[in-house]
Amino acid sequence: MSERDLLALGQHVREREDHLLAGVDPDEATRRHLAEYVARRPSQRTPVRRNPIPERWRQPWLGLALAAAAAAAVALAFFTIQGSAFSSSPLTFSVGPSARAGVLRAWESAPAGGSLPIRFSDGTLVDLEADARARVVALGSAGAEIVIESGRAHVDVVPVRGRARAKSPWRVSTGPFSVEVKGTRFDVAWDPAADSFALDLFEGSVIIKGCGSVEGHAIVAGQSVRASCARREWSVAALAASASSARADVSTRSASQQPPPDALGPSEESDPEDAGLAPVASQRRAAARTGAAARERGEPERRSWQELGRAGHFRQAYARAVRAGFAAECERGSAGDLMLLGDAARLSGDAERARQAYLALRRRFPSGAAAARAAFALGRLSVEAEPRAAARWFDVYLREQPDGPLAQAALERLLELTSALGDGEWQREVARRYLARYPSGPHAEAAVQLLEGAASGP
Amino acid sequence: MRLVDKTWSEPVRDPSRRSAVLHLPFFESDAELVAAIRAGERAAGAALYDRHHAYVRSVLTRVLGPDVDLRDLMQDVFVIAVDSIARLADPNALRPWLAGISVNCVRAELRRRTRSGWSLFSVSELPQAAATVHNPEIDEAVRATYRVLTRLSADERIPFALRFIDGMELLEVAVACGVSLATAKRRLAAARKKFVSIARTYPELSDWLRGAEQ
Repeated sequence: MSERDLLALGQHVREREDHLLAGVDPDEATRRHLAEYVARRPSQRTPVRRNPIPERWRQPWLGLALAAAAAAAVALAFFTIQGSAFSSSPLTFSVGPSARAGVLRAWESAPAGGSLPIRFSDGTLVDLEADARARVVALGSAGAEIVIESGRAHVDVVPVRGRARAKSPWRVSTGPFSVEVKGTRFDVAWDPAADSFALDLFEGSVIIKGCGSVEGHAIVAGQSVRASCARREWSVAALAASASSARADVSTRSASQQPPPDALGPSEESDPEDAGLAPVASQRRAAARTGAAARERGEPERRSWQELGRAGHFRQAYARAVRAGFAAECERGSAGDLMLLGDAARLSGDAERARQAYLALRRRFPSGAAAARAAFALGRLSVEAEPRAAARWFDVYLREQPDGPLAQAALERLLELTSALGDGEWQREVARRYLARYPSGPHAEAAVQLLEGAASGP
Repeated sequence: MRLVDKTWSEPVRDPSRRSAVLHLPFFESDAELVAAIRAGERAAGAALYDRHHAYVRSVLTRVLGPDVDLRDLMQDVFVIAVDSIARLADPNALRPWLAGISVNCVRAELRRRTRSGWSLFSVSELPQAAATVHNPEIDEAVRATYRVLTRLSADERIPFALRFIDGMELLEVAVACGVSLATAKRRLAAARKKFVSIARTYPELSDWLRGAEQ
């Protein structure tokens, strides 16, 4: 094949691609984020001075004097700031229950049935709720910027005193809105499909900007914001007073350092004020109210297994659910609860109870994405012990959610399992499906080889 | 209880100014655009995206193929560009500089894919899979080309795609890949040899090969 032939093939590919690219609209969210990002960065116009001390000042005694002055300034700053902000090195962060090192600008997604904690070195916690997706895009010495692409997150920012806060504040960007944070605790949610922004502020104050609002709107503790840029809607309402004060008592920051409290079943409380919020948030608030009431009665604070599970404490959540009656929980929990229950059992090493929870989910909520996710989880659970059953569960997921978020993973596992099972016809059928769907996927080469081997076989 | 309940609408303070010419920032050259980004002008971020998103998307597509969702990679390229704009020596060379950043992002993505390859039996949480979109307009020759490219290493695949699919000149390929012209030539030769060897096993590419053999 000569260079000219390769260029001709390349031109053919390019023309096809250009035809497709011509129909791709600009990504408005990226464009808007970039505009905000450039505006927030410090100016880089000033040239860097490689030699900031003038020649005539370079005297030994002057150097010592400057060093002494600098030391005094550092000491003064230390005693003034009195917090973590005295360090000029940027914050670091870890992700998930295993606290793996976070990577700047890498997307993180909470699993379908649980939460994903992102912990910063200053103690700040951003807890992504089920299915939420976010990434840390900038790290400062006393703050960071987090972009939440979709879903709900609980944000618990450790306050910083002094000027360091102003230099690198905390900022949470979501959709067309950005939230400037000053040490506070709030829930924030963004649904890009519905163009719906929600923020419940439990402590401190924030400034919400974006969507044409340059100055921003100051929101104080106890207020709740609902907004839509597309519908040009903006409303501020009061959180329920009891919910607000009780929520403030639920400190996820300290939860991981405390021993697990006694058993507590899931709360059945509901609050009309929570009508517009996600079920998870209302469950959290209800549990918070229970905890506050317990403290008022002089009892130790209690957290439900759901709360523990969503905070990533799967073993504790599982132990508490067992004490509360695992089978009963399987019969009374919501679809989200059952997924969480199965995950908690699975990650605690109890495959049998995990299977019980996932099967209960499919029996009680047979249609919808949650049932399909349970099928995927059942497949994953059975891979080693019962590969044929696992393959069937992945197939079930693909039938129920052919375009679901786990479809590629399900197809890849199915491909692996059919290879291991030696079921040639099924394997080739799966390989063809895979190549048609994911021609550049990580298993494409293996699928091609498999089909080629079949074609040249005896 | 509702404290405030208002609907966004622009108040018209002065009816006589209801119609007015709105002067939007305009950056005539890439050098002006770079200066505005360095100065932190909000409009410059949007202008950077408006002016170069199609080019960046095309570079990424040439290497990864048309079926891949490029949203995350596009964001990475532009955020890295803004972060490192101070290091751009020649502001008029913004476009090749963006191509270089795109190539680095693609290389990282290809290596990530290679690492995550077959290790899917883990009970731990699933990695975030890159979303792909099946598109019937892409014909078999295009699909086969990218199937062959998946069997090349990142250092072979990238220069090959830039040279033969994007149509870049050798020097442009070298600049985008951040290597010398000699290294670019050497990698291209290796990539070409490997591509042709693998392509012979693909019937979808037989017409192209036959043309070459005649």
